[in-house]
Amino acid sequence: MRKLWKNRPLWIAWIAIVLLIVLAALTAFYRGAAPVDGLFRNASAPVANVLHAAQSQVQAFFVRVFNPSGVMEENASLKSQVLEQQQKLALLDETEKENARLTELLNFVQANPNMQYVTASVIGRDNNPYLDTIMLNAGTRNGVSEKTAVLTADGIVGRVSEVGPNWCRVRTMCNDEMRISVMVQRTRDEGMLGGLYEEDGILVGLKLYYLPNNADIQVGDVIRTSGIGGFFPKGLYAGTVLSVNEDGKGNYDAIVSLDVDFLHLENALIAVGVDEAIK
Amino acid sequence: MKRLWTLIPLTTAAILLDSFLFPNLSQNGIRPLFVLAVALGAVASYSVQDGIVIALVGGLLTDLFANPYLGLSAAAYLIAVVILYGFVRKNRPKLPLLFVFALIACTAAEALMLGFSLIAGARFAIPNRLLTATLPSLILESLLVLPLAALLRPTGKGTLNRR
Repeated sequence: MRKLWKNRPLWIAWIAIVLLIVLAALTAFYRGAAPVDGLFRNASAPVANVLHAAQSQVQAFFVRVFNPSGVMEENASLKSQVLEQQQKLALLDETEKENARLTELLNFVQANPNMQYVTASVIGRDNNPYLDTIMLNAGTRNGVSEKTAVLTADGIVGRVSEVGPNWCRVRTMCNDEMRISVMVQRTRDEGMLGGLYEEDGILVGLKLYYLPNNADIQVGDVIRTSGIGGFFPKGLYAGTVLSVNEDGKGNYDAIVSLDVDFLHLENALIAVGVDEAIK
Repeated sequence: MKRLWTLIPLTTAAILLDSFLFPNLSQNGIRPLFVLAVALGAVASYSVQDGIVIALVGGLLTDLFANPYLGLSAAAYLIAVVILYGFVRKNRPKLPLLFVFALIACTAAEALMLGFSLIAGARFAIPNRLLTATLPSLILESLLVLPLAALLRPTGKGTLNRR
């Protein structure tokens, strides 16, 4: 190795470059590397904090040297006060919005008393125009397990695809591979909901198919989960029929609205316990 | 040995400046990468091994303290080191030429970091930044390489390590 280092340092450099790019890609794109990345960063955090404090002192020293009149200090003090007030105002505004969101979720919980929920906040999103997966801050410690249903008052968010001690990743309904068994509330006709339907590149809703022949389905019909499969409790709101197509042989399919605002989703309910009676 | 005593404090200072001081002091986003300049200075003084070690250790520590993607700066600095070494391994260039070579190497490092950040989803006004921040930073870095190369150039017979 020493000989290689002396005679062929560029080989080692190129190997290191490839490994480092892989490492950077892992920390940027592969969430499985997050714990390892976190380990390094947690270890370096105390050093970083001390150095940040030292840097502030150095910066303050230079400010004092170049501004002996103290005007800058007063200015900084006033600026920090303004910032503090702005932070407080933003916090109040945020609290108000959070209150509204949580009230909405509470109403949903009260309307569905047979289920047990864990309320979780969104802590991460994929960098994807159609959000494919999201991360929530609840995990096995909160009773969350894989394939558990995730909901909001507006409808179904998706299903837990990966779970850690205090986090879980949710495959949302925006994932083209997601399928759930549903029924038309009015007629009890069952079908399969899933797969994105787009028009001119704009997401319109989800496809509803495998409906029975000559199914009676109309625009405006409410679609709910059928409970088949066991992952999603029966009777959860899934969307409203936007349009109906018939192929001329009595086979129907439909487009169903996607009411959950995935881009602005901040809190969600994870259905950790469902009474067997409603499964 | 003397060279080592110059390199270690210089690299440490460069890491601290890059990670803690310059992010808070930079004007209009102009921020030369000192660690990169020290690594290139080492290469320009005919020690590619020193350059590789500085780029690797300095880059990783900078990433750890101040960057979201662990390993990206280290990879970018190493690419710059390899490119500059390609230019200076055969002939000792005069200062203006060394500046141009250093500028090319720094540009390659910056391009890697910019490209990776874009792929990873960073959103910023690139055309504006290129002229007002990136280009001045690159020129400053390349200028820094010149005195650093002179400072790190081995003087004793036994320490000459020309490759």
